Formats: sequence, C-alpha cells, structure tokens
Amino acid sequence: MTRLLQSGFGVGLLVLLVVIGAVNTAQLHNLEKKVAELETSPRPTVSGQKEGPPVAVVSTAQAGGSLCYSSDEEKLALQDEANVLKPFQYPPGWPSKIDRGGTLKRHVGQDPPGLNPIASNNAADLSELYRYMGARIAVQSQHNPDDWYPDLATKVTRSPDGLVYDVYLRKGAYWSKPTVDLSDPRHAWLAADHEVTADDYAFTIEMIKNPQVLGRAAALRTYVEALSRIEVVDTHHFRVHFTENLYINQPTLLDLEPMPRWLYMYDEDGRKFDDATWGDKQNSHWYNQKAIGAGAYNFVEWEPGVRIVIEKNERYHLNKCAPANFDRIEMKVLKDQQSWLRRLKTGELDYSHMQPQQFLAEVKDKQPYLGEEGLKLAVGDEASYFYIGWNQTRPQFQDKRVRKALSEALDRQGLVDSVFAGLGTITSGPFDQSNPCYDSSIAPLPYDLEDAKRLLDEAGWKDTDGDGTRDKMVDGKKVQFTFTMVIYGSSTEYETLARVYREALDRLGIKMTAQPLEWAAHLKKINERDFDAYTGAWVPSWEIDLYQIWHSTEADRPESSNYVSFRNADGDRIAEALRREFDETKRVDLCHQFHALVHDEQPYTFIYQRKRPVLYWDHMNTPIFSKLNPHRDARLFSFASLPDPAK
Amino acid sequence: MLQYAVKRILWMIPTFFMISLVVFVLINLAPGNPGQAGGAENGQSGQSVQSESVIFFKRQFNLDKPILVNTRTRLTQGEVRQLIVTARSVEGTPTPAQIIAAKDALEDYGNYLVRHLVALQADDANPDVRRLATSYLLTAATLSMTSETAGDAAAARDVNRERDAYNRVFRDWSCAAAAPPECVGETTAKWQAWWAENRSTYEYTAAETAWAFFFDTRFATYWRNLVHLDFGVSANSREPILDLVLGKLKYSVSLSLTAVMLAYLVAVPLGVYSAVRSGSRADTVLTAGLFVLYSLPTFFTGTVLLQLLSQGTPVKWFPTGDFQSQAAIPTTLGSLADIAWHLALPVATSTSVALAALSRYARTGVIDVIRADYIRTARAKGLEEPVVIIKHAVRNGMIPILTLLGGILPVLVSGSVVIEVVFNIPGMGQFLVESIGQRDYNAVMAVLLASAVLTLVGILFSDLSYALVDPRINLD
Repeated sequence: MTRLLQSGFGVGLLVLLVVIGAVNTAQLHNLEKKVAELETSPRPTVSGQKEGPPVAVVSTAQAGGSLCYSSDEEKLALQDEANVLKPFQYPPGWPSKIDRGGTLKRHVGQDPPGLNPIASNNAADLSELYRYMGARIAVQSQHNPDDWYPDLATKVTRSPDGLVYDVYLRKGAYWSKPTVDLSDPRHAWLAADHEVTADDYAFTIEMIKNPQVLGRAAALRTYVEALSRIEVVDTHHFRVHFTENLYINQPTLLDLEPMPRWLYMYDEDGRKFDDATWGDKQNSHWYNQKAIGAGAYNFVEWEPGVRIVIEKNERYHLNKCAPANFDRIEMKVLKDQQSWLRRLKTGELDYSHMQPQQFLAEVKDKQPYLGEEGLKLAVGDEASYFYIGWNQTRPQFQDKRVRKALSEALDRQGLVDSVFAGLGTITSGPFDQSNPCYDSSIAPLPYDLEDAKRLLDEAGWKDTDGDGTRDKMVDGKKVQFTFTMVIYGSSTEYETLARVYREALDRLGIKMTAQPLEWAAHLKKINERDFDAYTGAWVPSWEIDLYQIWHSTEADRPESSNYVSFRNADGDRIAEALRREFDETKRVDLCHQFHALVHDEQPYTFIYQRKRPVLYWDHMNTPIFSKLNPHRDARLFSFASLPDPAK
Repeated sequence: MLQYAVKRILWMIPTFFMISLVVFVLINLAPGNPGQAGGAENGQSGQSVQSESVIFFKRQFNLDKPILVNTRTRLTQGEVRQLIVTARSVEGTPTPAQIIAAKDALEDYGNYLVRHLVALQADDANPDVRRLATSYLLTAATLSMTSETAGDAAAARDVNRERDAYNRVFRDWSCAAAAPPECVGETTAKWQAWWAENRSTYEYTAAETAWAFFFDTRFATYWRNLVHLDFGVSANSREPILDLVLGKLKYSVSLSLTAVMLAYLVAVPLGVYSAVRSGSRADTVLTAGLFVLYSLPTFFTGTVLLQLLSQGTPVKWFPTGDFQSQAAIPTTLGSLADIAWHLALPVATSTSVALAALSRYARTGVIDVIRADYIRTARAKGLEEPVVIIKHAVRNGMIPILTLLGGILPVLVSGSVVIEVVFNIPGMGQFLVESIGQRDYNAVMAVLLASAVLTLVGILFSDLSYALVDPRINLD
C-alpha cells in the first residue's frame, strides 16, 4: 500500500494521503504548515518530580539489540511458532544512560481538527499524539519495520489460507480514565475501570465501516475493505475474516487502534446513541476535544492554539520494557515556523526541526548554532520523495526517450546542493532508499544536455521551422514543444527549481512555463488530468503496494492517484503480483523489477529524497530517528540528564 | 435625530443581506471544498462505501445543494441518463473533468433524481444503464438525517428514527457489477413496487417547484439557520461555530482594544504637539519618525522586537510570544500582569503602525481649529496659552478623531492576522485565515458577518457621534 503524501513542491509537501497501510495513519495535510515538530522544555514540572507515585528516575542499561518481555504470559505466547509477533528488541544505538522523567517540550505546526482517532479529520499531529497515547494490536519496530512487537496482543496467528487471523489480547491492559471531573455526578458513569477487550475491537471495525463516520474513517475504510467480519470469541480473543489474502492485510490489522465502546457509544450523560445516528454522533462526539488511550501516556489537556499535554501512564502494560521516557510531553502549538528556532534558543523547546531556508540562513556552517554552545545538530532521513510528473496523454510526453531527455535536463545534484542546502539525496525510483525495495544499483540519470538533445532528435522532436522551439508532426498537426508545469505555490525553493529548469530546457529548444497554484487549485488540476506536468511528492509506506499510483485501471479513474496516466502491462503484472506475494525475497525482487521499469520509462522525473535537520539541546541523548516517522516519533528520544529547571 | 437613527438601522437590514449574499457566493465559488482540505477522501481506491461518506458529508453541510437557485425539479430523464453514461463512461469517451462533474451531480441531485432513475431502471435500452440506475437509486432515494445539535433535539431524534426506518427498507436493493443477471431483475421489481407506494415523496407540484427554486439552496438554508442565530458547526472540527468564535474573542479583543487605546493615548498628544509647533524642526522630525514607523510592515517590526527584546540579543525582557504563561498564577492581579507582560510587544507592534495616521488626524484637527476666530478671541482675552490649546483648541480639534473610533469596532473582532501569527496568539485573525484555507464555509461566514455587522454599527455610531459632539451638524 502506498501511503503517499502528494504535494506540490514546497518547502513542505502536501501530504495528499498517507495511507495507513501498516504504518501509522493515513493523513492528508500540508507538510509545509504542519511539519513535524517536537520539543522539550528545560522547565520540568517542579524539578522533574510530580505528585503521586514516585517517578522512576532510572538509568537504563539495555544495549541496543537486547530483547525484553513484558510478562511471562507474553514470553510464553511468543514461543508459539504460529505467532506472527516477534519479541521486543531495543533499537541499535539505544542510549546507555537515560534519565527518565522531566517534561519533553516540542512543537506542533497547528491544532489537530479534533482528537477522535477515527472520526476526526486526518492530521499528522493527531497520529503522532496517538503514537504516544494509544495502543495497537502490535507495535511496528521503528528500526526494522517488518517486525511487529506485542502491544495489546501477545499472540496473533494467521490461518494457512491467510484469510483468518486470531488475535489474543493480553490481560491487564487498561484504558486510561477519561479526562473529565469524575467527582461530578454527571460523569459518575465513567468512573469504572475498563480493560481493553475484543468488544472494543468489534466496535472499532463497526465504526470504520459505518459510512456516517467521516474524518479519518473515510480513508481507513479503503484499507479494511478486504476485512469482511470480526468475530468476538471471548473477552480477550477475537477472529478477523478477510475476503482476499493480501499482503497488506496483516500490517493493517496489527496497526489497528481500538476504540472504547463504553465511552464513544454514549452521550455525556451516559445515554446510549440511537442505531440510526450513532455513526454521525461520532463526528461531533462530546469527547472529541479530548483523547483516551491505553498507551504509554495519558491525555491531560488540549488548549486550542496553545498546547497539548500528555503525561506518563503508570499502569501502562508495557512499562517493563518500553516505559515512557518522560513524565510529561508538552506539544506547543506554534503556527509561525519562524518562531521555532527563537523558542529553541530561549529554551522553551527541547528540540526543533527547520525548513531548508532556515537551515541555510541560520544554522549551516554557523557554530555554535544560534549562538548557544548547548545546541547540537542531527539530520534524519525522510521517506518522502519529490518528482515531476509527466502527463502521458499529452503528445509531448508519450515517448519515453523524451521523458528521459527531460530528466537529463534537470541538474538534480546541483539543485540539492545549492537550493536545498544539501538536505537530500537524489533518487531514481518510487521507494524510500532505506527500504530493501529500492534498488541502489540503479543510479539516477545524469545531468547531460547533449544526450538529452540526442534523445529528442531521435524521438523526432526537431526545430523544423527555425523558431527556436522543437516541434513534431503528430496526427497530421504540427505540435510545438511547449508545456506548462503546475507547481505547488508558496514555495520559493520550487520556484527556483522551475527557473533553473526553464533555462536548461530553453537550451534544448523546449519552452516551459511554471504555474504556481495553491493546493485546492493544484489538486483540482491533477484530479481532472488538466495539466502537462506538475511537481509533487509522495511518502511511500513501508509495505509497498504499487496499485494505487501505477496500475493502469487507476489511470482510467479520474481523481485516482495515477495522475500521469501510466499504463504498462509489465507494471500492472508486477503491481498485481506484489499484492499477493508474501515471501520477502520475492517481494524485493518484484520491487527491483518495477524500479528498473520505472527508471526506463521515466513517467516521473524523480528528484530527491529529503533529509530533515534537527537542532536539540545537549541534555537530550542523540535522537534516534524512526524509519517510519523520523521527526514525528519521540518514543526513541530521551534525556541524558534532566534539563536544568533554572535555565 | 431619533428618526434618522431608526431609518439608518432599518437600512442596515438590506445592506447586511446584500453583504451576506456577496460573501456567501464568493466563498462558495472559490475552488476547493471543505472535504478536500481536511479529509483524505481524494485519490484513494475503493469507491462504494467511500462515496457514501462523501454524500453524507455533503448533505450534512448542505454542499449538495445549489448555491442560489434550484432548478433540479425541472431535470429531465434524458439529462439524468446523460449524467450516468458520462460518470461511468458507458457511452463515448468523456474527459476526466466531465466525469468528475457528472459524478458530483449524481451525488448532489439526491431525491430529485429518483423519478428519473426509476424510469431509466424500468425501460432504458442499455442494460448497463438499467443496472447503474438501480445502484444510484439507493443513494438518491435515501432521506437525509436532520441535525440534532440545534433546536428541539428530541423531535429531531424522532424524525431521524423515522427516516432511518424508511431508508432501511431499501438498504440492500442494488447489484454489484459482477452479480448474476437475475439480481437486476429482482431488484428492479422491488424498486418498482416501492415506487408505486412512495412516488408522491419524489414528485413535485408547482408550489413545491417554486419553493425549491428559492429555498432548497445553500444560501436560503444558511439564512434559515441564521435567523435562529444558528451559525452551524465547523466542517473542520465539528464544534459549533459560535463557541469557537467566542473562544477566540478574548484574545483578539484584549490585544486590539489595548493597542487602540494606547495608540490614542500616544497619538493625540503627539498630534497636538505637532500642531502647536507646526512647521518647527520638532514637528518635522516627529512626522518623519512616525512615517518611518508607519512604513515598516508589522511582521518586520514584530520580528525585530522579538529578536532584540526576547532573545538575549541584547536583552531578554519579554517572552517570545503567547498570550499568557502556562504556569498557574494564583492571583487575578498576577495573571493580569502576566498577560500585560506577554502583550507588551504585540501591542507595541500594532500601535506603532496606528500612531502615524492617528497623530496626523489629531494634528490637522487642531491646526484647523487653532486658526479659528474664537481661538484668537481666547488669546485676546488674555487666557494662558495652555488653557487656550487644551480647553478651546484640542476639544474642538478632536471631533474628527473621535468619530474614527467607530471604524475600529470591526478590528476588535477580526483581529490582526500577522501579529497573531508572529506572537502566537490564537485569536480571530488566525482563525479566519485557517478557516479560509480549510474552506470551512460556516466559520468564514460567521467571522465575516460579525465584522460586517460591526462595520455597519461603527459607521452609524460615527455619524451619530458627529451630531452629538458638534451641534452645527443636524442629521434631520
């Protein structure tokens, strides 16, 4: 499944849709505005201590790679050969000393639309919040995303035909208490303790399948289409039936977050919703401005426009192996990107990423960073790749030699070095370079204007009338080689790219006009296939599914993601095979075949895969970046020493 | 005077109506729609369930209705057939834009399609069209749920139960493309029997046609809710708009009100000083200085102030933004002081721009007066110069500047986008801009209409205050 962020070019991408796949959540957002931001503050609540149970300020010594079992039950379950889960393993580079406690202060670029993980609209910040607060059937390993560790389930088994999964939930995993005044008689009905049960999962599926539930459910629904039925066997055991045996079924299932029926099925006074409208009630549920989970942190508060606060869950079922590294996490809502570094400098944030221009102007080669000795720099890789898409229904772009020539006319390395501040790696295919699917033996096409000229001549595009622009007779009509490239506006970087590119194309005798558009207009154009070329970006999910972007049936469907109308019989065959292939070696082989095919066909000019710079204070351990959500996953972040509250 | 005021107030009603019409049409015509900005519906595979959600969403926010006038009662069977063959590319090769438009139309026309679909299902020559008509019938015949959030919730719940029961009857009456041929026959028979019983619901009398023409539209629906002071819910967060707006008010009002008051406090003495010393070097320097301040854009002034006064380069006297500290402050006085400390820089930024204009008005006002005969008289009768200026000149010279206050009302509500963003104050300006970005029509309408009302009231207030403070003006 390809979870992809579609964007114009931009300082940020527009996440068109990050599909859930197995990975975290589907989300559509404008990365430019909601770039991942995390921050910690040097002011922990009263010198790193808080009321109630003593804070475990422990220094761990688990080495990277060592295993950990949360309970004997879990250890026993993992000995079962049929169990698809693997034992929890500390990631490589796990710090030798962690000072647990304190408050991590980071920032988010905007308010989430609501906090209901299924009925609220998608937002990257919301999925990140639930990464800390929520629990799932299993946790996807952040350093080896093919492995899944026990979370709510200790055991998951798959039938030989792949159509039935049995999920065994652990005992003693509890929902946190709703964040309401429980002493108020109105909320007395919420006071009881609730375990996470199979029934909660049945409710989750009902909710996703109910067409009245909008927001993220509308996106999730696509991924559970093959899921036909859920059968509750007992409190801790349920069985899930699929209609088709697809590779994506398993990660989708394991990544499923439960919803507490005992809360979301009732209004604030504890009255159950009507069958006719309970789905719609989710969209504006009274609890949607708050959150609940069974994960490492409990929800404390969300003050719109100001901050979201969560704190350590003392009852978390994985506290033995993967406890919260912080007592509290405060996510400050900072909509002005320019303010991130200012707040970092004053110590209001523990860390912050930044945009390439900021990096270039204020950080690169400027040590000490921001004039503060304590700030350090780390650079993480992002899975997203940027590209130019060629509309293959247009006469100019139907010949692959032409598309190759267009790729060779773009000085990608030069752009990355100068315009993108070196924050990227040029790329040759539609996969994340750290995914085994990416064939690193395929080098990106070189910047070579001479060869581009040769290819264009060969394809029959020549300047026959001496007006400086190449032309060609197509169906008896003379077509000039001119085109318009739609770029996602509000990004100076991509306007620079367009300028550089236009000059190079001029030298080839091709006239290009750049048309910057805001997102809604950009999306309308590409949905209606009303463009010659456009700039975009995708974030491929870890579990590759080529169908959505590359299959020819999608080319025929307006509003589908095969915007460029790529039609290739081999491509279709590979995309179909990959959906049903479970053997990792064969999957990689199929991906490599596809990579070679796309490199030969050049339906896109692949530009680069982005890197993201992060500045952090030295009281933090060197950040370990998750492969899946490098800047949006602070579970691998920790304090080397609690920040100085006096600072 | 009273008569004048009443007349003006009555005129405000049609003016307001026209403003709402223009604003409404403009924001509805802008490309993009609420679903796009917030949801992830677009670009994904899997159609059936999903488009059901899209329809549900559109109906909830009235996005399925035409904006101003509704001619859907006059649809013909031929037009509906054309939509179906275009949307599913059954005949011919429509362009993607045509396909999308036809699909949207089929989703939006809802109940108005039913009678034509029933006819197509029964006797169209093309079997594909018959099958598709059946599948579209399902969504077209479905009655929408009514909102339970406003008005009489219990009554609305009963209506919804009834409609749900009605919709449930035909919930399974459709055939997948791969279904056996008998399926279509059986389903068609069920629908035709159903139609015989329910046709009156989907056929329109002349009166109903006329009603639909004007009133089954987005604009009319919006106004129907508006007269009940129901601003709807946000398409983004689904919170009631009124609550959201009221939540933002405290930020914008405290910021703007302080800035305006401060601007007057500083600008008026500066203006008077300039007027009295008109033409002197001090006047020139002051004028030049104010114009420099006026020319600096607020994002620049704000950023420079933050850089100089909050970053420790050179000093760290003020916070880097926000409305107040997160730490709990026990006393009211303490928290007021905390807010004042946080608002110092944003207020200074916003004041710096207003100073120039206001002080110019004050200066001109006083200069006009200072040359008047009665000032000469005051001087001639031996009054001290300060008394002449303050008691006689300034009082009268301030009339124009007082009436400017009326124009400030809408600013109090609409806030200042730039200052709110730079200083991270979650006020109305930010809210408006975000709502526009998300095409959250209800939110945009509410904020703009509130500004419109305040503008109208402000203008009226200005005109009346002229008459009040200057006896020479007689409005009647």
